[in-house]
Amino acid sequence: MKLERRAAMATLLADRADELLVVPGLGSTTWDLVAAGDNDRNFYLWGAMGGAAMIGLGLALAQPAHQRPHVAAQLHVDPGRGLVEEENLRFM
Amino acid sequence: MTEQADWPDRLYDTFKRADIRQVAYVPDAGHARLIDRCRADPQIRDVVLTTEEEGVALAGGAWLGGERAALLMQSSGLGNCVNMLSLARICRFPLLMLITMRGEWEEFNPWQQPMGSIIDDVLKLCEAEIYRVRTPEEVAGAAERAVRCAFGDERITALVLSQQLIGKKVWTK
Repeated sequence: MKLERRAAMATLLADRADELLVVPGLGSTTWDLVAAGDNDRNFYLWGAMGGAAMIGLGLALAQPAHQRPHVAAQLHVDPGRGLVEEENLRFM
Repeated sequence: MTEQADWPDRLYDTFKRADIRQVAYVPDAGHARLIDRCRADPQIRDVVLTTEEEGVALAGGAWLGGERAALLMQSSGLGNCVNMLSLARICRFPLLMLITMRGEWEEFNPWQQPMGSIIDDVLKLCEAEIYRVRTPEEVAGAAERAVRCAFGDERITALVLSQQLIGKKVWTK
């Protein structure tokens, strides 16, 4: 089954709460997040691969009142196969 | 504990004065006492890492959330962090790293030498400010200056603890 990244991100953020903090994985996931709607509470990565989940953890520990159900998304997709390859989505 | 041997407590005191609220680490004999002090402190969230680079990202997230973090590692761990330091460099995040040296003095493990021998060069290439400590008497002052550099100047800052310093605690009975 092929995962449509843009549709998946749009679905995840369809009813986005005002205070939701989102940290995408670098690369395509960042563009997917932009496509779903720019927001001051997005923190876009274009490098530092593998950092999204831990940035989300540091942020969540520093802002415990905002901890749930906010999302740090790290979505790596193998473009050749269209499969979710590595980190999927992490909910904190 | 003698004045000579309690230098990790000076690091902990510095953390408290600086209001460090998140401390990330992998298990390390050289940092063991500081880790124990942090774990016993309900005001500090200790985060165990699987690789040191995760701590660079954690510290960035903490800063975004309004808290100060510190990252503890051995010299070998710095090599694992190089790409993740891009986050601190691009975003101008402060980053306080405490690095216990290996491979430079009475080292029993030859695998520690390759990374230990290039620590200063790697730190400089990554635009980090280096504060090197060789004796217990230097610890408190250097730690204070490192904190000011990291969070005052918003720099990547490494407090490098020489193996001579650590050796007195870890390998001398």
